[in-house]
Amino acid sequence: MIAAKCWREMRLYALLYVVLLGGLLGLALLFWPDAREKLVEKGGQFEFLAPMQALKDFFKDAASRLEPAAFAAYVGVQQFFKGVNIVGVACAVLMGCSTIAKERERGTFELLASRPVSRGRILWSTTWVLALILVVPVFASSLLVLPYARAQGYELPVGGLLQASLHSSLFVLLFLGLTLLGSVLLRTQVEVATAIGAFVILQVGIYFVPVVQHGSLFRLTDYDVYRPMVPGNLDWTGFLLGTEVWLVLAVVGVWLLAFTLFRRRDL
Amino acid sequence: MRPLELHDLGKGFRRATVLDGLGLALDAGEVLGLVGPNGAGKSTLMRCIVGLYVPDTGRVLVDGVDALAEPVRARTRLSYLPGETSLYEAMTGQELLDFALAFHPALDGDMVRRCAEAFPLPLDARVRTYSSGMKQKLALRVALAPDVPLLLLDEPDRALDRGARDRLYALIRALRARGRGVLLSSHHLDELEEVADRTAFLVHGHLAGDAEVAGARTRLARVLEAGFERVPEGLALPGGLEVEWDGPRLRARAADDATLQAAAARLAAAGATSLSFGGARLMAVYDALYAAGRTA
Repeated sequence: MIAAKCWREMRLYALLYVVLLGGLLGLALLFWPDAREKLVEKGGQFEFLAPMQALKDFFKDAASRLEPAAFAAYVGVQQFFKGVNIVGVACAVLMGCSTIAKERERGTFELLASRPVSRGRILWSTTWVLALILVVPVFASSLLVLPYARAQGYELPVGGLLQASLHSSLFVLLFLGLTLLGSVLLRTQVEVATAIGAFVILQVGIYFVPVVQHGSLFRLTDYDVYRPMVPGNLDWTGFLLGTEVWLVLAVVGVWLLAFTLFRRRDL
Repeated sequence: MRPLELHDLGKGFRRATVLDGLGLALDAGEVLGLVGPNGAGKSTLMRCIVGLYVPDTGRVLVDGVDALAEPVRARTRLSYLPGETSLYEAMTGQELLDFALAFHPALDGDMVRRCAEAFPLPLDARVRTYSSGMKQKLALRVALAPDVPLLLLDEPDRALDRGARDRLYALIRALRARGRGVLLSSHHLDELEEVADRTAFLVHGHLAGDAEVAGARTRLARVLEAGFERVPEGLALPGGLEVEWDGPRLRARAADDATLQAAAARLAAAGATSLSFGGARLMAVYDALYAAGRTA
């Protein structure tokens, strides 16, 4: 019931998210032939203009005369580095703010939490719906690249796209967890949005400063990370036992903290 | 088993203590009126019972279940009407009823029907189109329907017109007749007095003791009011009376019943057109307990 209510309240956001994520990827793919031609023609010029090593690497890869490698680099940047990082994180924060803090702010939480249902179930029933709303489009849109790639004469490995989708989804879920945590700790949507928004801006800002960029969470999802994943150069064992373990632990930790605090606080 | 027992309940917010060692027991088939000025802690008390607030000290037993240790199990035994009615406005009235009542293990079918008759609503319309009175009626239909031993109603008559208030109090009497315990707060003291078996006055975070309330009632009972066509000349009243004149109306307060009776006899002899003893109405007791300086 709570999950159904959450879906009902979030379905417009979900539609907006799918349109944005899929639309941006679709547009990028449609312009791929022209983009590739120009990248190859211009050679290293874009690489020279790029502000940081990850982007220099991307332009170098995308301008490669080896077409499959260039296409994989293009998909990695357009879908994961740009699409999921921007749209996914923004929607995670937006949707996360629209649950607990919104209910508390408009007073409906009193009606819900006075039912014979645990706080844990309330939060869980809400968050798994949000998690699905955020993650399913990432996998779906990424896998839709496959038929397009085949039509263009490229062969992208399914495993690589799945790895990249899983990695970027975990990153989005981390931000959803942080927003839920903020939603539990703070009273209003504006407070949560301000706090998490400021954190995201700070993280992005740090990411573009060469010396301190290793302190940014966005280093976890920059082009350097997706570069070996999308073409399928990582085996699953290495992938899962590498960064993913820590990312999963971070997501679980943030979510558990949010759940624990939610159970103990005045509503 | 009592529907509700509170022992040494304490709750504060930052530096403000709202509930301070509060104790209370509510019997089955009893309506207990909870009275106090705004900010006295009535809503905080109810939220602590429901589990929305975590008390700093004390125990809450709902139908014998420790509400702090087993909050969900305790909530299967109570129904709560919040003081500020906030409903899911995107839902229709019927969707909201279905959603809110689906969590309860059992509903009182007869009460569901009686609530529908008492508070008819356009249930296929969205809640956002309802007036505040209609929203309150919908919230009441949610709160009164579960088959539970304890009902917590925080200002249930808020935003209701006179007719709807009368129907509400009739429903509360029906709940009492079924053996439910009802804890009820209201600012309509006259109506509360009619429906409540007992009244608890929340003063400085605890309930005023029976002696304190009884004292206020006794003091107030020794008030005499008399009306004249014009102020009588040469009226001699017994000593020990505090007398106030307001035009041709007199108000006298006595320290004992004998003085009051003697004064009444002399006023009647002096041609009083009306004579009444001040009844210790709930409103008057409230005024006495919460006179200036008594409340924060």
